[in-house]
Amino acid sequence: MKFKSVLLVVMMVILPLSIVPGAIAQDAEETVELVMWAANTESEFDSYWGDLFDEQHPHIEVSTVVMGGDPGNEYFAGVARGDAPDLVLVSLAKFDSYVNAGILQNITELGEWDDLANFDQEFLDGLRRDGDLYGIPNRSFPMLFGYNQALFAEAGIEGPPTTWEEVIEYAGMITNADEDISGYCMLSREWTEWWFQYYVWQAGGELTVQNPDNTIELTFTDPGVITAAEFYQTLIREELVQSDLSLDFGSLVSRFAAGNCGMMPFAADWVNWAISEGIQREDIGLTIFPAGPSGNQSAANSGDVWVINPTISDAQKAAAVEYIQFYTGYDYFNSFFSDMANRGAMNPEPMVRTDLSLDDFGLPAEYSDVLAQALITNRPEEFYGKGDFATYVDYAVQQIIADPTMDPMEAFAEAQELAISDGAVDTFNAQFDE
Amino acid sequence: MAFWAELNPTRRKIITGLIFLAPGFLFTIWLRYYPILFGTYMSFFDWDVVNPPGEFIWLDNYTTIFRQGFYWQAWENMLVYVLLVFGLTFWVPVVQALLLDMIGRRWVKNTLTTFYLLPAVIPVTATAMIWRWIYHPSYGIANSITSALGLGTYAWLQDPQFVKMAIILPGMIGGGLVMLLYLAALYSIPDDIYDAALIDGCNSSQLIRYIKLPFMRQVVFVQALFTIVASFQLLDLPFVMTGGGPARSSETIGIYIYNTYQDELSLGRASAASFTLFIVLAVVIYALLIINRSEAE
Repeated sequence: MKFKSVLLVVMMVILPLSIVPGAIAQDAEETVELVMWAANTESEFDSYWGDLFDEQHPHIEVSTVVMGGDPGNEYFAGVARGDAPDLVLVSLAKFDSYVNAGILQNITELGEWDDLANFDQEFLDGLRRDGDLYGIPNRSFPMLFGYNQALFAEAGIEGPPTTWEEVIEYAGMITNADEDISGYCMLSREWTEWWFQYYVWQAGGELTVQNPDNTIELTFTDPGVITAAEFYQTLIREELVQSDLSLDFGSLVSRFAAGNCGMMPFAADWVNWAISEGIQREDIGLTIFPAGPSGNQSAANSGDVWVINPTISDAQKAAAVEYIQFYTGYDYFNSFFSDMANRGAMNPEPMVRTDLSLDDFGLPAEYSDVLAQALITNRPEEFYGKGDFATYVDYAVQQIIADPTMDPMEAFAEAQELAISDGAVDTFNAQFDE
Repeated sequence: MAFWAELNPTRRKIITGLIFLAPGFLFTIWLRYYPILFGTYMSFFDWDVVNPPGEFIWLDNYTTIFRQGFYWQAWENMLVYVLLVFGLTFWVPVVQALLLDMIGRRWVKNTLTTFYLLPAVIPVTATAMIWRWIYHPSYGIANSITSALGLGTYAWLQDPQFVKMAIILPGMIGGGLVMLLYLAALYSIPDDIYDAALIDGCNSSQLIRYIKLPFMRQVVFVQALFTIVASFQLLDLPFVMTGGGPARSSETIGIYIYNTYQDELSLGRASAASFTLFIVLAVVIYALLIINRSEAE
């Protein structure tokens, strides 16, 4: 009897204890770890929403690695190394090449996403390939034309330029070599095709033509291309641009913020950036691009999108979807833009969600007018085949910048011939062979 | 332990030596040779980073890069860089070492040696940033000097004609650890050889020509090999100073490989370019070693 009592007590102790490891193991199985890359350390705002996410999604543990710069640019290298994040924000400029490289998860395969009906469908459609979605819109940044209102006022110029001729005229009035102030800042060291393409469109030309069967034809010697090149050469010959043409892109924005640059192409999301580098918000003037000889004022829209790593587990993919849904939800975006507006650093960027309006966030009237115009004049995408032919356009543009007396026809004809002899055109068109 | 006790002392010495050498050997295989071999393997594939290795395409990556005009332009730039390095900067530490060796006063010699060594501690990227400032078209010192000399101003980093020279020019300061190696070679010359030379009536220039330079020959040759390798692998200076521009006029093979990987997202082609560089360097170095050996004989 005594033995039976002891045995009973022992079993009563062991039985609950045997359940505990199982329960712990079950919790551990359900907890999913996500690694994501961020550009900056967490702000108070980020911390608040991070805690809220943790509270609402206790089964998801998010580790954020601060990369600095643009983490999306390092995503391919991360996948190649095997240490890529599970999800990351990628700029639209990289999106196409990443889809082609097969390093983005097909999000359509992960299930229904009802909230997508509240997103800008044109933006979403740009992220589809053969009907499947590979990214979720985060923010949209139209390319605008920025000008320093303080420098304009000092030079006695009343408004932004509306034509290329006015750009040259106003740049001449602002340029002061002794104080290292240039009327215009030109992207000359890298990615020159990025801004140059806008001037080609404004001159009524095209760098490439997309045929009905999606094959490409290079039109680097299009009259509009040559006109745009001559405009660039005029700005350089008349010494209206920064004297140091080896400056990188980030340095140009810094020059603008420091008051050393009168005018330059200016993306909507750079307002925040420029303010953080010292310029007053009221000194940042924004307008749509001045009209080229054809009357066209086009630039392109950019933005960034959430993408998911296709190599992670199904549980992690599901968790990544939950994370993106949270951070692209109405509540988060509403709070995010309210916070931006309260700090006086509201970017003139269109909402990717159709259930939110810029009017709700007190965007200065001059910015909202410009934005409305840009959404009409800007193209949704950059030039066709940019991913494969940007390097050749960049080569030609850098040549005419390095030698502003050079015949641009010669430079662009050489670049086009190079693209053809390299086999780049054949390789591009081969993907559409039946 | 019984096994160890039964070994003869010679074998024990050999095995002990191998045990101590093993970690270094294994790390060399892992960190040096494995990447080379794996990179070579990658060069034969249209490398898929998600599902490696991807499609086997044999030599297609090589034929693609050999067709590219930019690839040959990078090689052309490399040859110019090598010529500029040997023409402008290679001989400077040799001269510095010879001059230091001639200084009698120890405190002057030590001070100058330290002074010449200092460039070695400055990181290359910091050097590049400083020289970008020196080369600034408007307020850089370089143009101030050329203006004062009546030579006008130059767009140092923006002119395809000058950019390569502008990138190599910082090396003319010389100094660094290389100078120390040459100095050590000079210090190793036995005093009785100097005594014999002086007895034979050698003056300073004859001492340099017939005693010092021959003694430095092997060190200079080894340094020449290192310089060739470093020139062919040049990446950091032009990358920071110009990014390879303007219009690829300062682009090295290293930058070409980086752009193929980072911008074109082609690991296979980048690996093909890397392996080709490796083969070219290996052939050049082997040829130089044979020339050096036959001259020595």
